[in-house]
Amino acid sequence: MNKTFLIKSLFGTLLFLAGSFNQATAHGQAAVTFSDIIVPEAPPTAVVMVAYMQIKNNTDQDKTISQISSTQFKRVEIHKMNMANGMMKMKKLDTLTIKAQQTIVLESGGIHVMLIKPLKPLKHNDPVTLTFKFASGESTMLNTRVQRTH
Amino acid sequence: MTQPKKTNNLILIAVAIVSIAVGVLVSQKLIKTPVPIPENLSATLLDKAKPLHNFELIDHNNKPFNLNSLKGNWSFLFFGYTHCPDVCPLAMQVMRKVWQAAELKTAIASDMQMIFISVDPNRDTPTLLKSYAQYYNPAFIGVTGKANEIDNITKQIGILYSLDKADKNGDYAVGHSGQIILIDPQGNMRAVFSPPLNPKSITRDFIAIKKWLEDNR
Ligand SMILES: [Cu+2]
Repeated sequence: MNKTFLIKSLFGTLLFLAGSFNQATAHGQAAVTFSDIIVPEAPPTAVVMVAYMQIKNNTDQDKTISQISSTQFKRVEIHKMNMANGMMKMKKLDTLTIKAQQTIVLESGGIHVMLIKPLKPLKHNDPVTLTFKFASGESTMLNTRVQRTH
Repeated sequence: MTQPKKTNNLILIAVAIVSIAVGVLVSQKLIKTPVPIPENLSATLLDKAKPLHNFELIDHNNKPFNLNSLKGNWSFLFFGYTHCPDVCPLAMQVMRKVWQAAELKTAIASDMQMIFISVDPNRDTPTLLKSYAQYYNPAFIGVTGKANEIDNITKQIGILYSLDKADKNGDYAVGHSGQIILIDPQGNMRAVFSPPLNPKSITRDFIAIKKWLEDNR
């Protein structure tokens, strides 16, 4: 194993950890924590993918996600499924607010992060990086991997 | 004059026995007691089978897909679009699990077919539908067609859908019903599975409905 490789892997690990320990507060606890992140694998020609997760606001102020972006997709949007006139339909949300000390669950049939037009097809175990931008100015990077669900 | 009376009685008894026997035979042959409708179904079983009339769609190999394509097998139909990231993949996963559960009992899977019908033919080409359907199971069939023929089958079945106007990126969402529809091998609509779709209860209900219809044949 050469030195460059070691440094690169260390750097990669640090980046990954940085993504996990997002938004540390003054008390050392993250202001917003992400968990149960799932990006299910989609059929090979799929032009849309989705991300589900739980987002917990550990602060006493509401937190608003104003934008989610990724260099791996043409566009990333926040969508909510609605049942109207007997039909399920998704609607774009401009922002997503997590109330103080509350957890919001993004799951199938509810709210999802819509990953539109992957620039390269993504298969099981491929890494995915999403950047969450908050209305208050901070941003958080989230690293996960595509997961086959069957 | 006791002799004729005795004969009369014997004749009466004989007639009675014969008529009872005939009655029992006739009731067994003609008035076959119907097997009761299976209980505790989570599916909605139609009171009366609804025969479908013909429609003309195309499958993912560009071959005609019409009413005849539904005959001879139990068909599970789901209506959606491949640009759907949430509801449709979930329904396809459910169909995959039902298929797998049935495959364990080969006698059941051998006369089943799982069909994904796209209501968004402008974006869902047969090629795209093939890779989509077969991602879930190589035996699954993707189907689409002209809008008026999609309307033909969705109206018969009671499936709703609506296409949004395209946004500045040319993208649009499609609203659609979330039910899985069960069609019998004669081409009659038989049952509706509504969300939340549970593969275990769909498999159980399907086996019960199939057995009920076979017992009543
Ligand atoms: Cu969406």
